[in-house]
Amino acid sequence: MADSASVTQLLRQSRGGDRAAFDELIPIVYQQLHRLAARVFRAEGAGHTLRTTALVHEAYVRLVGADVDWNDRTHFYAVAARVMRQILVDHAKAQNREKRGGDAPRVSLEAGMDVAAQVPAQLLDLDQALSKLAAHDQRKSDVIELLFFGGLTYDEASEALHISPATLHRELKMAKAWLYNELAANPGAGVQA
Amino acid sequence: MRAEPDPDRWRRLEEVFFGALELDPDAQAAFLDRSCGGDPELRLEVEKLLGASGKSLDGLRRPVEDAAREVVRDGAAPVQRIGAYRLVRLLGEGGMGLVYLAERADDQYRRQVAIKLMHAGLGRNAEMLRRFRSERQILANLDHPNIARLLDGGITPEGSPYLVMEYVNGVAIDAHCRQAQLTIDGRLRLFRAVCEAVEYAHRHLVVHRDIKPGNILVTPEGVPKLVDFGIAKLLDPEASDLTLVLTRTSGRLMTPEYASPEQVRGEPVTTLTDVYALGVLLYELLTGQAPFRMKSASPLEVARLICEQEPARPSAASRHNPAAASLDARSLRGDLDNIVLKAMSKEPARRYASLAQFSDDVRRYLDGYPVEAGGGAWRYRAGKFVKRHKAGVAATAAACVAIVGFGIAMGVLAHRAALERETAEREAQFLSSIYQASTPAEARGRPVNTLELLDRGVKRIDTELADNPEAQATMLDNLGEAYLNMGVYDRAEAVLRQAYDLRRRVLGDNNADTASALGDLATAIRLEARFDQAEPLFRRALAVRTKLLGLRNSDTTFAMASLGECLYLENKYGEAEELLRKALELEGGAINVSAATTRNYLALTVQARGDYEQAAQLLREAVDIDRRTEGADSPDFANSLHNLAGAELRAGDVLGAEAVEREDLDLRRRILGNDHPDLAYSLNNLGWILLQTGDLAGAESLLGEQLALVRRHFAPNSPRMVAPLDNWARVLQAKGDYAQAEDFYRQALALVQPKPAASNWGAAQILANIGILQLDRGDYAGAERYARQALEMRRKLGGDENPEVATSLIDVGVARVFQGDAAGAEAFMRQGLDVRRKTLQPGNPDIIDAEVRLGDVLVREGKASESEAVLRQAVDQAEHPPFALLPWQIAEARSTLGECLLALGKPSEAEPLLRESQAGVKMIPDAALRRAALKRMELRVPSGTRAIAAN
Repeated sequence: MADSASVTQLLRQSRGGDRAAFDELIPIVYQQLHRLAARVFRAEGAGHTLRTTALVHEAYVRLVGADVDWNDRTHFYAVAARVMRQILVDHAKAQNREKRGGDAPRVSLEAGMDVAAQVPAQLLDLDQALSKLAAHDQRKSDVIELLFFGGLTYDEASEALHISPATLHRELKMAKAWLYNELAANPGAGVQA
Repeated sequence: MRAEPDPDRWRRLEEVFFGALELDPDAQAAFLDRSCGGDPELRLEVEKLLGASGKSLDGLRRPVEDAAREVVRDGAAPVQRIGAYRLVRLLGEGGMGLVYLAERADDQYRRQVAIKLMHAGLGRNAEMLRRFRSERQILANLDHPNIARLLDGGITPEGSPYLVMEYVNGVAIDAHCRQAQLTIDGRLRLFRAVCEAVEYAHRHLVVHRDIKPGNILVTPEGVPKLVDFGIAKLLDPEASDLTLVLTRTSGRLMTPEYASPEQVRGEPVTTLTDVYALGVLLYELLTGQAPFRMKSASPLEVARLICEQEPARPSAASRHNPAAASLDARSLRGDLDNIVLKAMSKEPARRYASLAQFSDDVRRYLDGYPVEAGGGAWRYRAGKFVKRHKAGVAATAAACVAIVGFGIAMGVLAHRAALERETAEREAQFLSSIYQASTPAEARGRPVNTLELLDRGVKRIDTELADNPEAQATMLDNLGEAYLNMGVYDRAEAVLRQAYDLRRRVLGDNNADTASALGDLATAIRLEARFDQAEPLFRRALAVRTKLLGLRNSDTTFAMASLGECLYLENKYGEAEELLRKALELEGGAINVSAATTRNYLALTVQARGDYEQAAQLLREAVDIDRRTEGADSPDFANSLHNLAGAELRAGDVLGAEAVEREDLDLRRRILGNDHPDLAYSLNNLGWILLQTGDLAGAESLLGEQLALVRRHFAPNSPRMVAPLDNWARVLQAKGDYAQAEDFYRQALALVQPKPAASNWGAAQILANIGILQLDRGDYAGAERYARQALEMRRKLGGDENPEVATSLIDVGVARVFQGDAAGAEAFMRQGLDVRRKTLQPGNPDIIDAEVRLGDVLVREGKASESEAVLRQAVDQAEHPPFALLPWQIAEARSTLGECLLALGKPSEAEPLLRESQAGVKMIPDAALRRAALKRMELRVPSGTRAIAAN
């Protein structure tokens, strides 16, 4: 088991800018999130609406424990958000490959396709758009990542990014508008990835 | 949309957007007229943003929530298959992991199995993985009708260990007894079958540790099957830890009802622990209730109950329990009460000494004979135990005072005492005379210096035992062996030569004792690395033993293995392997020192031709044999462990090897002290590993210690100096002190290659290293010259298909690349890759490395599309390794693929690869390659993009 002391240690190092520690954290968090997702499934059935928020919080409690420095906690959420995004993207890509038989040409998202088939495409589009946004403006992309994938509250997200809540709201406004436009202009861009 | 981010434009967009955002529509239009007067494109973009700014965040978020639900819907289990098995459904989740019902995925035969998938966290701990592997082997050997078979096991690509077990479709034994309304006799018979299975396991050195009704299932046919045998220990070597029992009562390791006092106290778990747990089980089967009520008890109360509270007699408990109404409580009174309580004694020594005795007593009861567990008899025995125990304590204390030489001598004496009493008595007198000669200073508590004592013994042998050459030779043997154990090889050699000469004179050449003395002498010479001189002595010893003892004799096979090792050390791999295989075959399945030795040497030999997988397998067997025969704190065990680390290292599992080698170094420090030459082997590997993982300070400290240690023990021109000099050169090189590094390489080369141009593996290695040094220095033509020399030498020694040859091919290729000749490098890279693919196991990071090198060359040649396929394979391998790779190994593959994709005009796919591998690339241990990779990245990666984590 990755004990909480070592996870906390990795968090600290990673927060201090140690990329290797960050890299080491990722698989730990990844596994934990995966496992929790599996548990939720069994406990509540497929119809349950899974909130990434709940998963991330629980992963945190299990990996790190309850009484850790606030800074470590927000940083953990930042890591978890990154990982959660990766998990969902990995899964969507795998689904895409399955559904479309490997590298078959992309099917455009017309009305009439079932929801399950759309999910991976939409997520990949969002992922792609987010990466594009990051190229323009890393912080705006981070805001979205923390809120959507990490399930952070606005306050937690502003803490994690070391910005004021007011700044966070401004960033969020433009990020949201930009992403909407980007997705409207380039639907399906992510599916090819 | 704009393809390239333009920071100025983005800032402008932000400015206008935020400026307009809070304005009402009319003011907005006017503001936009003003702000984007001459830039209709900007205005359009801002208008679009403003148009979207009222949309809800939830609409954007929805795909994320949907995708999360999809992940969950798809079982979310990271796996649908494990190894050759398809998961059918989840059976349960325990503290250690998930349990699935599964069947063979290839449908060869539709056998249902249970798969325990351990939580992945464990997979990151190389030490636990190693234990997992070796324990798994032991468990797989358990073959009993009442034990659920361990069929298979392994590690998933994600690093989670899993076990495949026979699937038992049955009910827990207590429920079965209730449902089938078994009589007391029926329950006792069922219980005896359980005892027999557990006892069978004990004979195979496996303790269950977690016996409880839930782990004993009874099939519809009424056959009890134990499941989870040894799993508790397999999954958690500290299963007996007090805190685990007390704080994790949720069922992670122990059901507190079945925990024995020694488990609660954190004392070692033995077969007597299982006796206790089976006592509790029998209690429950006979009375329908547990001996202690623990449901609502606090952890402290649980501990007190288990350790102090005597349980009610089963006959009394049964009387008050309606659940046991079908049982006749009166029949429990007396013998059955005694049997159960004896098994459940707080003091392990008061319990039945074995499960066989326990089960026999139950049988005696069933057959109507008086039982052993009479009230008085065992109290009497317990009293005796305490007396015995006290004597044991005293003996242990005495043993702590005794020292190496004495211990060995006494062992030998015990064996021979009956045969040669007179000689034995003389030896004993001699020994005591050495000890009595202690000076007053020593008597006042200064630690006895073993070496001084041995030296004193050697001096006295001639005078005191001159009239008894037999005793004299034996004592010389003992002293020689003691010197060997302490690593004082020159004195060992002198003494053992004396012993050998004496034996020869008295007993003649054709004598088993003479042959043994010869073998010992050869070993001393071999340890001084004078292999060519040792070889004829080993040969002679083997010939004599073969003649006198025959081939199927462990002394003979040991001699065979020793000669095999010597031949291996002389690089005569073919003959060595042949001989060692013969020894292995002759030994059959024997579990003894010789069997472990043979496996060690054979492993080294097959390793030399690149079969690291087989080597590791042989060494795991050797480690297991050593643990069983010599113990986990013996020098032999340490040696096998070290060799295992070496094999894992060569198979590319650097982190796995690191954990094993660390354990080995700790063990050796503990049992040998810090001044034993054997320590040098562990320091060597661990230091080298740390150079790979980027811990230069750690490497410097260990390799510095190695150099100093070997210098203390061996002459400056001893072959044992080669490795430490070479290692120290690497440290200097890594620190950038190239001139000094070369000087050390040349010192090592002079030792290993006294005649210029003489070919041997050691010389080839050092030449290859000097080549890499030139590369780091920027002398690329020089690098190629050395690489080519090493290549020629290795080809001569190992033929074309040898992993070392492949390394040299790639070294030459790299030197050509640095000289700007990618086209010329391609053939070398291709050949190197080809040989590595042929000789190494799939998944070996050296294959990835060769693919990366080839891919890099192809990109440089402008053949990026050809390169893409090679590099995608490399990245895929690096991302799905059989064991954890080092970050730089993954980063190197990814960044090279990124380069290739850039060349192919796919910047959006390339960019994240390059960005994410930045940190890893900084850790590439070879300076020249690291610099080249970093330089490329600087050009490619925009500096503004940082991960959140670094903020």
